[in-house]
Amino acid sequence: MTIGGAATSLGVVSLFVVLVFLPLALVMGQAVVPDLMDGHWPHLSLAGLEHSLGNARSITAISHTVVLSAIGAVSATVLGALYALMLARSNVPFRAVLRATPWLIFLTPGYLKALAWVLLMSPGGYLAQFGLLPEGWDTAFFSLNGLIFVHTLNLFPMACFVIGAAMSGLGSEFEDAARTVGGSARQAWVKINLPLLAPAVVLAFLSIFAEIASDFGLAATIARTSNFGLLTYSIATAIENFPVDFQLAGSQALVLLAMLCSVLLLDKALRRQRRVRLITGRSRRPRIYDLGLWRWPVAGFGLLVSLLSVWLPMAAIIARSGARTLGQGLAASNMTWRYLDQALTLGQPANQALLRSLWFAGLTAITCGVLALLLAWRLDQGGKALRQIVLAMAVGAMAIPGVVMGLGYILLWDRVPGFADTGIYGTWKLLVLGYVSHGLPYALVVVLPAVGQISPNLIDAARLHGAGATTRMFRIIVPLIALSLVTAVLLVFARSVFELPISQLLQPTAGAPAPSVIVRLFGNDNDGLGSALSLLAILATGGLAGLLWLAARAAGRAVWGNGFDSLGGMPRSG
Amino acid sequence: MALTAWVECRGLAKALGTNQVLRDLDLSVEKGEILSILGPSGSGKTTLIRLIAGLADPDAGEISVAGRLVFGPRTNARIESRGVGYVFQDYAVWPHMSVAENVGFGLGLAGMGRAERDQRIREALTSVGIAALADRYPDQLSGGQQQRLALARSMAMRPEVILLDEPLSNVDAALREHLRLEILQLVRAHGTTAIYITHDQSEAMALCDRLAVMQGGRLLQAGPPEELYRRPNSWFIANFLGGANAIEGEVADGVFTAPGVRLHTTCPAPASRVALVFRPEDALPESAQPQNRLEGVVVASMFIGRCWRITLNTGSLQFVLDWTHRVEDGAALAFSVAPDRCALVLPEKS
Repeated sequence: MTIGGAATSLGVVSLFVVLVFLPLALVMGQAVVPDLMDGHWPHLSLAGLEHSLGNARSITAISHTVVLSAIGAVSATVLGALYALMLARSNVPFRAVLRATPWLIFLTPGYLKALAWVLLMSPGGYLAQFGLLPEGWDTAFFSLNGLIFVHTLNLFPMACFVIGAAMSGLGSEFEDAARTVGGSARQAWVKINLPLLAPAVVLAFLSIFAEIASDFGLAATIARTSNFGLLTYSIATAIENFPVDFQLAGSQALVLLAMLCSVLLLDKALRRQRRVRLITGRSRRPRIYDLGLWRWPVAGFGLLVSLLSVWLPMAAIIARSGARTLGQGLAASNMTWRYLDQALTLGQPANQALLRSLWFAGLTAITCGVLALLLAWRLDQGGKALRQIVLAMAVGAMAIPGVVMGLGYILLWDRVPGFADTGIYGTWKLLVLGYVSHGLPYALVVVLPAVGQISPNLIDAARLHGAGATTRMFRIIVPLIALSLVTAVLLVFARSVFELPISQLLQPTAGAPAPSVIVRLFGNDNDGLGSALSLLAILATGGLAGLLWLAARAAGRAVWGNGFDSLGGMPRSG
Repeated sequence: MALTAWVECRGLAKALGTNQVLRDLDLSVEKGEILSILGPSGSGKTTLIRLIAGLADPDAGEISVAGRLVFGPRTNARIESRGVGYVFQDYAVWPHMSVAENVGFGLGLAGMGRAERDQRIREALTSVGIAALADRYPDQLSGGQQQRLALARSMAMRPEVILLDEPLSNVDAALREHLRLEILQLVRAHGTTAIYITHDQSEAMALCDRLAVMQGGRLLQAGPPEELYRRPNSWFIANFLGGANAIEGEVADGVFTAPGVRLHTTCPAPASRVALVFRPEDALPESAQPQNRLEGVVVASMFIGRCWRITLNTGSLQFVLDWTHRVEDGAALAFSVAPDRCALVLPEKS
């Protein structure tokens, strides 16, 4: 390895050490070495761990988390599989809406949907006002049931994407072959397609399980209102309440991480057992089932899912942001501009929070974009192995729950000498650093494979024509991955505007960002202003992202001509 | 050490991980010569030209291009200063640049002024017949046009040597023959030295002044294509270049013997224990060379266009012959081979 290569590896590794590994190590160390930060000679002790986890509250939080994650993952996987089947293999009408739904869900944060469902299901909420809420359903919602319901609607897109991809890779040759040897349609599905799809189904289940276990948005909203203790929320309260109990937070974080690790290991073990290559490269388009008249009820099911997961929550937030009180419903006398006005007026706390969030998210997105590009550039010279390692680290970092990361950042920047001396704890700088650590893996996961897809011959051809490293970067690589880069920046931007656990834990003393303000407003029965702020945050993010994307495309066309469109953001091999 | 040929490699070795891709390889190409390198996949041929281009560094050995040492114990010339052009198997035309921009990219980096550059671009595109497509983007070109563009892009740089890495393997069969001729004419017209890599033996023989065959990281034989075809120095080359019948046995005083076989040969013998090889098209009626006669039973006849390809069993041996007419399965057939067509090579497992 050259000196430059070694420096690159060192730089990449230290970036990950400071942003991810050190905070994580402190969280875990805190749990088993209680006086790690006290200046005494540290000693290993499991007593603290036992004490923290042995109490009734911790045990409840752990068991609640396991039960909710397991049931939620089953229901979201089943719904996602059915939805994918409907889209991939049937002639269901209204395809545009049905196709867009999973993406819309995927791009909006879970806690906003949770808050909207609180507005819909509360006693005296919107559904009750329209007489659509059967007796007892409101109390039933504020429990495990409601959490499963909202998680299912929020996370089925993951299963839909994973299983849908497997289905389109599967084609229908295997099924057709089964039919030609005398199998019925049902037998072909049960004996051929389902076993072939099983790895995708398991992967979807495990990913959703991990997602629910590490979720903070619903834990801090519906679960908190329902008094349904969950691990992530419990970790946050241990840090936010007085007296601060780092030992408890660390111990619970350790349990959560152990849970996620076992899910990852299980996934790995299962994959080793079953190695079926679904994408043969010769699959034709799978045959579409003609549902006949059944296509209407099937479409009805799809539209109902779309209504419940996107449109109804959105409508509730819009309605609430323009209403004086929730209880008086949609009456004209109840209409007011007050909340939207507050959220739009400069100098008002809600408006300040919104602008702060947009600014922090913008800074985060640009930082992540530049870092991802720099990494891609250095990795282009560092060879395949280093790129694989960085990608693996990025995917690993994505699995770390925001609340655990936030805890790690507090421990590192508030308590570890050298880091604490920088004085960035309690300022917006640490919050943005937290956002960056959370966003960078996403940027890398989008940008690095795009760079990896560029045929090495395209780069070698440039070298042969006399292009140095910088020329190769800006005249070959950047144009070829431009749309991926813009997508990465926008993805990080959207995630950071709505990032809740890190906003909550690393809140700057000078003023909170929008996500924690929104949740606090709902918690303080100021859901009108909370809704108005949510609505504006969604509109601003969506609008800004749309504008940026259009601008990037126009710029790309102006600079690189038609060739830019033909790339479609994903360069072909050459 | 004086390196005299236009392109010369001495003692090249290269390992990728634990795999020794090239072993102590010597190769020389004269100025203006077209050398085809033929070998099965994994024989190290692409690695060899990547080393010449500077896209990878040898573990040992020396390389000179146009009389200048570009790689040696204390030398490692930069890629762009080697004067080497390279045409990739997958074309590697930059998809975000127009046809003209692709050709002009390297010229611009070399500091060439606009007017001269435009002139060169026009010339290069005209020479491969795609001047009318200058403003198109690669995805608007057919595979053959993309390969022409790749060739024009390299030729426009006026390289000392052009390296072509299986440039026709992604082009459909109908076009391949046509493009082969075009490449040959273009390279000859410019007097450019060329090294052409391929695993297709008919392409290799058609395209070159000299042919080199590689296997397992070594150069087995190099020379005019007809020499390699007629006088292969190994069973591998005999079989790889067009297929051959082989019989293992002993040779002494121009007479080859094996159980049930006795054939005269005028070809030089590399050892006393040898394999005698002859090609299907060398089979003659038995009366043509009565002293070199073989006999067997026909097990299959296939019509292959210009003749019938007959499979013959002689008990322990099986031969493939090109014959003028069909012979019924099960019928007896005798044939002969001229002594100068009975080449001798070392047996396969020696």
